[in-house]
Amino acid sequence: MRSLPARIRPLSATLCVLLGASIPVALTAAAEAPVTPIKLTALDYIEIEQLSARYAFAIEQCTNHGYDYADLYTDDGYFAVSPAWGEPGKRYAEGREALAKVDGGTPEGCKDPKTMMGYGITHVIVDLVITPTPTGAVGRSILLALGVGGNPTTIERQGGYEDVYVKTAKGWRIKARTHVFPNMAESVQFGHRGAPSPTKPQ
Amino acid sequence: MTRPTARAALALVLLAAIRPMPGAAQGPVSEPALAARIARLEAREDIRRLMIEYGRTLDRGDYAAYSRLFAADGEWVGSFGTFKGPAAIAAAVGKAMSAPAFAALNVGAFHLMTNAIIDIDGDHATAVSKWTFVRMVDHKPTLTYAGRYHDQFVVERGTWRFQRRVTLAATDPDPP
Repeated sequence: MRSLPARIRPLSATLCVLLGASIPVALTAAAEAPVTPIKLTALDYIEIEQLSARYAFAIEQCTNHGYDYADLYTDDGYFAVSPAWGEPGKRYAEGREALAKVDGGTPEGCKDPKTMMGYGITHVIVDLVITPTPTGAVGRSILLALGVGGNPTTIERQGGYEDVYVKTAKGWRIKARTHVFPNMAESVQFGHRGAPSPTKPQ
Repeated sequence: MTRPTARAALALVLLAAIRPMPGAAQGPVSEPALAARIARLEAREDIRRLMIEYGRTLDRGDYAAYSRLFAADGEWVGSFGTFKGPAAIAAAVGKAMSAPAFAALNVGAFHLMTNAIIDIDGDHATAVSKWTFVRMVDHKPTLTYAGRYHDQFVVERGTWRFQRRVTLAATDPDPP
């Protein structure tokens, strides 16, 4: 370990006396923290899976002025769309108010769902893989959209999601969700066979 | 930088370093707390299994096994009507699914159960989830129906059972 500058060595020694042996341990832990994933419990995995399941419902039905959807995210969370896995893509909505708005939330309540893009579509999110990171976890899942193109029996794979999760005082939340949609140009719902590009999260 | 400022900065760095990581273990867990946590996990897994068995027994036409997934006063609510108790549920769903219009089409058909949100409260629980029904059309799996389940569960003689299952089509509104 590199030695501390001479100017603050006395202070370090004093704090060592006050805090005991925890300082060297803490310094070591701090140095290692950025590269060591946290250990997720079984309950952590389940709570993240439940977060993903809640998304699949909240995105289809605006409730509580859109805040039930927005509150799945952290206060500074965002939704983005990317054409390729592993690329950050373009952010469409960032922060609680913006996220509530794209879910159909208004100051008066919720917009008529029939006026919203994606009305009548069932989002099926499957094969979620959760991987711990030093600050929480990341996830990757597949999105199947049922009822696209106005046909209740048409199903299409709409890429999937790449997520960043963090554990807050309120539980696990989405810090970033990126809808990765490599085949959007061929999509029945969004591509040249369907409607224009998305204006709300899927 | 003055010395007091440097000290304050160093103290902040040190305090930040010894603060627990988000999600990190918060110390030893008492045995009762651990037992309660395991009980919740087991309950969740039992309910997940129950929801999967619902589709599995239905798909293979085993309506007797299907009906035993419901509590003695369990209720099934859906497009066929409302039925109470395993015997009534087995008779009604079996009759509907075995009708000539359905039976031939249901060979090789299967249910996908996804996106279950489960909330447990002691010996009771609720869930919402999604279902997708796939039939084989010209030997190709073809999406036929989709919708949602709104469930209530209860522990009956030590086993989780459906207290009430409401089956909704994709465009049906949620029950009140």
